[in-house]
Order: sequence, then structure tokens, then C-alpha cells
Amino acid sequence: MAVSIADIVGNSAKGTGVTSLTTPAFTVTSNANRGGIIDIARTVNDITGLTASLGGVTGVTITGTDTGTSLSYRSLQMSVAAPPSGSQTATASWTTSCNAIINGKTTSGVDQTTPCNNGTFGFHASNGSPTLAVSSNSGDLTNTVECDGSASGSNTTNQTFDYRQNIATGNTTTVAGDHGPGTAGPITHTWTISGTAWIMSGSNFNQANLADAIGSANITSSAGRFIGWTT
Amino acid sequence: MPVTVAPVVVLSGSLVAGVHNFGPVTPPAGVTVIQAAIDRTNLALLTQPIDWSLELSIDAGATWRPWGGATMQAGTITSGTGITGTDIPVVLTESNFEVGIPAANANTMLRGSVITRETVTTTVTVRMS
Repeated sequence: MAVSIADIVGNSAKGTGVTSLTTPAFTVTSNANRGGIIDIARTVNDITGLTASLGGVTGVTITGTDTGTSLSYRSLQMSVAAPPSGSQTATASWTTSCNAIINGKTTSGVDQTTPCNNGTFGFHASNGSPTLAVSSNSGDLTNTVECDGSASGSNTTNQTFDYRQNIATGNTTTVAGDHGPGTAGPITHTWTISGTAWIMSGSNFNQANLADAIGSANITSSAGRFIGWTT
Repeated sequence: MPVTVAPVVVLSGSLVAGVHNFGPVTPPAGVTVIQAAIDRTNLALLTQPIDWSLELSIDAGATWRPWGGATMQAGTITSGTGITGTDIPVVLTESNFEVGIPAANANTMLRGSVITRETVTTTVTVRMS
């Protein structure tokens, strides 16, 4: 059962001088085998006290996505297994006040035991060419979040663009997210950005296995909506 | 093209510990971005976090959905050092959060609340574009 591209939906929020953010509500599909990813990008590389949830379900850091202390900004992705359907929000909180941008994304057709895998990250202090190759099988769905120090980035991706947010004052930041084609990988996600230094996190929605899919029907869904996402 | 709108002060003055509601505010047609900011000028000696949030209605107030929120520390906070660690930190004079909304029309309304845990003298401003 392939991860559904049609059911992708989400929303984002950004803040200056905050210790938590909650996104606007978005309507999660009622189709089976739902999974979620929360992108978190912050202008400090301290993750003391970092927690996140989507629809009240606690997120788990996807191994390999955390950029750590590579640069002074930090990004990672958290997976959420079986978020509830209907109107939901994504929330993240931490201890150290900073600028931050978070995004919650959900879809269906996701493995319920291991919703996300193949986490990876990249960074560079000056070459302005964010790119990541994320491992994937046909029917999976790769996702990346890119973060750089530009103030008003017009970041574009070679994959399917999902959102972009920027903070234009103080510690300037542009954060953008995308998803891949759902084909066999590795899938290379390459961003074109205005900044030079960047960090990037990527992972893979793992498709639901046959045991999860039996008895479910991924019937026609509404097209992916990105209410409030900057395009 | 972004809409130019004057900021709206929705709360101002001394806020005792508790929940302080504001709004509803009707954004001008075409507004797609909402920022809710809290002035930090008088927070230096305070210790308790402040939560604030928004709700959105697209049916003239008949129904409301959660539409973003944030928490801020009291006290004095500074900006970071930038992505490469070379920026000089500065004291922040406000905290804010920002969300997108579907392009506003005559039925669009916003309201919100601020939760304080000690008496706070501040201004809460909603900026729209």
C-alpha cells in the first residue's frame, strides 16, 4: 500500500523569541494508516527540553535527521504514528528561547510500526547548495526540510514544494519543506536558496505493509491542501 | 501582492495573572499573514512564561478553529549568533509568532487569548499583511 500523495496536508508556524509554537489547525485524512512528520528548525543548536506532538500524539525524533551542532542553527524531523483524523495541530516546545519554524505534515498509507525511516542530514557553512539523498522504496515518500540564514528566501526545490517560511529580522532564517515522488530511491532533494550556509534534514515515510493494508481502502481523497503555507 | 494594514493593539496595560481574551478582529480583504506580538520592554524582572494563541473563523464567527500559538519566557532574552555563529546577540524587544490564513474576506475573523501567570505590563499587537 503506497504512501498517499493525495492525502498530504499540513500547516506551519514561525516565531521570534519563543519556547514553543503551535501550528494552525489542518484537517487530517480519515483514510487508514495515517502517519505524520513534524519539521523543527531553530536558531540555536541546543535542544534541551525539546518535545513535539501532532494531534496530541507525541513525536519521536527520526534517527539520523538531527543536524546537531554542525552549525549554530539546528533542524530535525519527528515522526508521529497514527495521528487522529480531523482537525489537528502540531506543537513543539523547548527550553531555550529562540526563533523557530515548525511544520506538521500528515498523510495515509504509512506503516504503523515504523512510520518513518532512512533519516539523514547535511550542512555546509558557505556553499549555498543544500542537497540530500534519501533512501526510499517504490511506494514510500521522502521528505526534507531545509534551513538557511537568508532573510527573504525564495527557496525552490527539484522535488514537490510543500511550504516556505522566513524570519526577516534578527537571526534571519528561511525554512522550506518538500516531498519526493514516491518512487524507488535514493531520491535526491536539491534546494536552490538565497543564503550560503545551510542545514537540511530528510527522511522517508515508510509505506504500510500488506498486513496493515488488508481490509482498508485508500479511496479517493481530497487533494492535498496547504492552508496558510507560503508557496 | 501583500496588503498594507496598520497594526492593531488588541491588549495594553497591566494584565493580572489569568486569561486575557482579545478580538474579534476582522482582517481587511486579501490579508494572508497574521502576526501576534508581545512587547518585552517591561518583562526583564519577571519570571513566568506567557502563552498566547489565535483562533480563526471563516464563517463570520459561527465556528472557530485553533490558528496558531506560542510560549515565551519572561526576563531578558537575546537573539542568537546566526547560522554560522558570527552574529552579535541583541536583546529582543518583543516576542511574536506568525501564521498564514486563507485570503481574508468579509467573513474572516480572528480572536485570541494571552495567558499570564503573574502581573505583566505589556502591549499585544496584531499585524496583518
